Amino acid sequence: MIIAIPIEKEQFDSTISTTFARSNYFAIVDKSNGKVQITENLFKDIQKGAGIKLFHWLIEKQNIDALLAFEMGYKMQQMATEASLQIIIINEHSKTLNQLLEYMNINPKTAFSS
Amino acid sequence: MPRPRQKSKIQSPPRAKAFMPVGYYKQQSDAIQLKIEEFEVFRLLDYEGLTQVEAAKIMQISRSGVARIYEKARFKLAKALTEAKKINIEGGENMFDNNWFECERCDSKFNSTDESKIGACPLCSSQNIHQINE
Ligand SMILES: [Zn+2]
Repeated sequence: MIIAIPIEKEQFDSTISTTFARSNYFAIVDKSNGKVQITENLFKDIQKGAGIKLFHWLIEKQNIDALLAFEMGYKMQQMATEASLQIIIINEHSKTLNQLLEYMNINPKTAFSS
Repeated sequence: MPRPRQKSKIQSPPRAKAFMPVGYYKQQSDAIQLKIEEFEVFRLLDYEGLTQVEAAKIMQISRSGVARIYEKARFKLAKALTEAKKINIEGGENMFDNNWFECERCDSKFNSTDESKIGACPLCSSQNIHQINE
C-alpha cells in the first residue's frame, strides 16, 4: 500500500498539514518496502482546480492507493471514494511524520529513497 | 403526519461526539441534540464555504431541505453557546458516504474500499477496530 501524507515541512519531524490539497509537501510512504519519499506539492498555489491536478498526479505519478489527512475537502474525498482509495483521517494534526511511520513500523533511518 | 424525509448523505463522521461548556458548573439538565445532518450542513456551508445548491448536491437532498436543516443547526448552536449547554452530535436521518471504521489504538478513522474486507487498521495494523454507525 502506498500512502500520501500531507506535511508542513520537508523533514521527518514535520507535523501533518491541516489541509490536504494546499499542503506544502507530501510524504509518499510505501508500506510494503518501508521506503519514504518527500516531495513538494507543485499544485498548492494554483488558484482553481488544484485538488484535481494534485489528485491525478498522486494517482498517476506516485501510484498511491491511500490518502491520509486531518481534514479533507469534499471534492478530494469524492474523487478518492470513486477511485476506491483508502482514506485515513487522523485525530490530531500535531502528530509528526515520524510518529506515523512508527505506527506503520517503518524506521525513518532506513526509509529515505531517492 | 410528517412527510418522509430523504436521508442526507454525510461525507464523514464528525470528529467529536459532544462539546462541553467550560466555567459553567451548574448540573446540566438538558443538552442540545445536534443531528449529524445539521452538523454536516453547518460544516459544508460555513467551514467549506459552499452554496446551499452545492451542499444539496453533495448531501443528495433538496436545496430547501438544506435551508431548513441549516436554520435548525444555527438556532441550536446559538442556543447552546448562549445558554452554555452541552452539545451532543448524534442521530438524525442520514447515511455515511463510506463505510467508516475507527481504530481504538491510534484513533484514526478509515473507510473500507470495496474489494477488501477490513480486518485491521491501515495505519497501525491494530485489529482493535470497530465500525462507526450513524
Ligand atoms: Zn490504528
